[in-house]
Amino acid sequence: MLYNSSLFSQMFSLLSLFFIISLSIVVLKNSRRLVNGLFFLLTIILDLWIFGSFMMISSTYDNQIVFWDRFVYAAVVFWPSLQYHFSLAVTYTDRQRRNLLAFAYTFSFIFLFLSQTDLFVQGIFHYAWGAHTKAQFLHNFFIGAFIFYAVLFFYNLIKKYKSEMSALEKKRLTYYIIGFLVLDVIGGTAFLPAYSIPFYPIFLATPLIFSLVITYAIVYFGLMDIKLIIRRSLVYFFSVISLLVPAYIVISYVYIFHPFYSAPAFVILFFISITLFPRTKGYFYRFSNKYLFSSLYDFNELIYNLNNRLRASLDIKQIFESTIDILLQAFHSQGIAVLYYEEKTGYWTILYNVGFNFDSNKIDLQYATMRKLLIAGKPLDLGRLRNTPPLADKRVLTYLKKINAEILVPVNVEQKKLSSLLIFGPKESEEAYNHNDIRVLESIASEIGISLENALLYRSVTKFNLKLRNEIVKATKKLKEQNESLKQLDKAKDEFIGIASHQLRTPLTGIRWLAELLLKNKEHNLNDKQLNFLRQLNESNQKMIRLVSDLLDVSHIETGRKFDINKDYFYIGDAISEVLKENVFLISTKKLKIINKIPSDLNVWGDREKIKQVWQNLISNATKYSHNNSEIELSFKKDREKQLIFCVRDYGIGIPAEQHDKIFTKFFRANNASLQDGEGTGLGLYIAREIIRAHTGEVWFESVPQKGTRFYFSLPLLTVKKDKKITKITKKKTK
Amino acid sequence: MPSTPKKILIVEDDRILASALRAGLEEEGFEVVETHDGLEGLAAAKKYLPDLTLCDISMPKMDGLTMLEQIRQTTWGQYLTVMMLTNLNDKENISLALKNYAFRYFVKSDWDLSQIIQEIKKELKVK
Repeated sequence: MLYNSSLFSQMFSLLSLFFIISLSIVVLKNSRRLVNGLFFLLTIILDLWIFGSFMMISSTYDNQIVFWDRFVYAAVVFWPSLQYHFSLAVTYTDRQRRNLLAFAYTFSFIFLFLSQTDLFVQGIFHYAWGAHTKAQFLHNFFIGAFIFYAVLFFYNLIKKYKSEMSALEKKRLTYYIIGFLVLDVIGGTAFLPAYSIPFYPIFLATPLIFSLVITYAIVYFGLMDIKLIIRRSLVYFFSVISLLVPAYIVISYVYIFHPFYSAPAFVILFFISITLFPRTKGYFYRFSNKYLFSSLYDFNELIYNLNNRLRASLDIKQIFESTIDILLQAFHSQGIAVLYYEEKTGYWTILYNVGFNFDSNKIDLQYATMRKLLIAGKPLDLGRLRNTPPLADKRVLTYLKKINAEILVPVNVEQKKLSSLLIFGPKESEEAYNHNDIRVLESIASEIGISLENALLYRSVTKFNLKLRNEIVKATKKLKEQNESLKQLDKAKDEFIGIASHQLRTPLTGIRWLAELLLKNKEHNLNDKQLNFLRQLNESNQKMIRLVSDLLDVSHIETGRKFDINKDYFYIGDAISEVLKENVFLISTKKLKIINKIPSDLNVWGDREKIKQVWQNLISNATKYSHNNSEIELSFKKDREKQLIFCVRDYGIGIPAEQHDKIFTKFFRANNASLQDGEGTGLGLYIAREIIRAHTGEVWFESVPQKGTRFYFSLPLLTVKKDKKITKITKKKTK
Repeated sequence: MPSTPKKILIVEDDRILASALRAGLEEEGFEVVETHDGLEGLAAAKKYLPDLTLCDISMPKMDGLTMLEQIRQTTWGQYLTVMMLTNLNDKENISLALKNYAFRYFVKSDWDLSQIIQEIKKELKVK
């Protein structure tokens, strides 16, 4: 019985020792903060306590027991002061309680020496499960101080717990209280044998329980922010322990029942342990990932995935949607929401929401407050928020707490302009967000910010485009309407000209014919003067008829009816002779010499009347703008058997170079032409060109001012064979 | 002068033009019948069977083209010589006239009276 119980005590204490040492090492790695430093020292005391107790249990001689007990006391005397100091550090009141603290440390140092005297402990009390030194007079003081500071410790923590706002902080305090309660109450039973009260050494397990509680708090609530450190440590320690404990049991068994084989058994176990270690480690690694650190993610991979998604989108909603499932995977949050700030309304629109219970679609989180809360674009952990920042609106915080928001991540665009908020709820595992999470969120937010900026830019460009397009559509519509009304107006004008011309023609013809009848002077009762008047009357009338005819042609061209071209073969020479006859008056007046190189039997394909009109226009122009006593030359040439090119050449005033491109515009008249002849309409060349184009030919000219002008026009030439056949028929017809 | 004067029918709603034509033609020894719309013209054509008809197009009661068409549908009118004398010189009118075998198509204002008479003489082989 003695052996067995001792064996269990030894195992307990070894495990406890192992755990508490592990915890010490873990905390040491993150002991820069005062709380962590103090916690480290506390675990060291526990290390020494358990180590001493283990040695004491394992001792057989009285003087050894006394030695190890005093060793334990040398460490434990610092417990009350360090514990008290720790409670002050956790509650941030260490500066206000300096006197009490100084007293505690002084007490501890005094008892460091006193505990080694016989006035503290003397003699040995043996009991069923071990032995302990007997407490003496001074021991009572120590117990008193121990209880006093333990009570203060719990008082401080409970007081803090009650006033604490942050739920997370409350949870952490709870775990501190539980951990230390276990240590102080159950661990306190270690003092009972000193007063000759036998009690099973359950205290040996307290560091084990304590370590588990604290480790749990570290893993799930980010206690001391050492989650990542503890993961690796846990894996190692569990691997070692899982091998060490069975090995210890086996060795103890062999040692007790087969002492002879203990040495080879030890060697075999050693090799087995070495071989199994990597596998065990792998198993625990997977185990810890799965159950303890399920939300642990690879930072690089997260950012890489996120970047890929973000790069693919220029749409604001899509940007958030594509990031959210990645974030959900990484953090396993109970809720994620994206709020987008609408500058116009001053409200936050919910772009995306899982798990939060917002009361409306638009939320009035005051922008100014948000900006104050989210200084420098850092994510805000509402769980860790101890004091309301100055000037911040408490209602906003209350609201955020009400909806159970835990982390606010600002997304800034355009040089720190807060544009969106990512809101994270608590993790599903109820773990807290650690420093690493916050850092990741911060860099994610900046990535999203860049994408968002691009998207906003794109949106504004698109908006502008749309606006521009609308403007263009509007303007085009207006132009179309204007164009339509102009067309109507133009059509009306053309119709007017058409009707007017028709109506004018009849009376003009009447004048023409009646004047002609009079001019015959059949009765011989008109004198020369009267006949001359009649001739002039006739001439004016002819001019008027031509003008009306021109106007009618123009209206035909303008209304899109073009010309009614009645093509046939005809002798162009005859047509030219007729034109020359009609212009004979001016030709003789100006004493012009006409050189006609066009043979009278030259056959062309076209509308005789229209082509004649072209000649009329070109010859009358040449006549009008020739200098007196000059020549007018009419000629033609064949161009590669494809077309005939006719030319009217004069040696007149020419066309000013700057007006060359306007000469075929209707109603246009060159400056010098107006001076020469006030009556022209500016329609002749326009109509001539339209006629020639209707024959698929072209009109052009070369002109040198004061040297003269050559007008050319082309007419397509048909094959000779056809030419002859049709000529015969035409001749028959005309004769 | 020919022994029996050739008969010419004028169908022209403008009385001034009609009388000018009539005067010009009578001076040249033609026998002229003057009418002022299509219906009158049609009746006169049937009655006198003229050697040549000068016919305007746009006229009251019946226009020239309709008149021509109706003349061509009769037995007596099939070989009548008809000259269109008009101010409408667009393709549709010309082709309609030619379809009904109008002999010539004149745009009035483009022609001197004497030129027209010349053409008539040419056709009727009168010197």
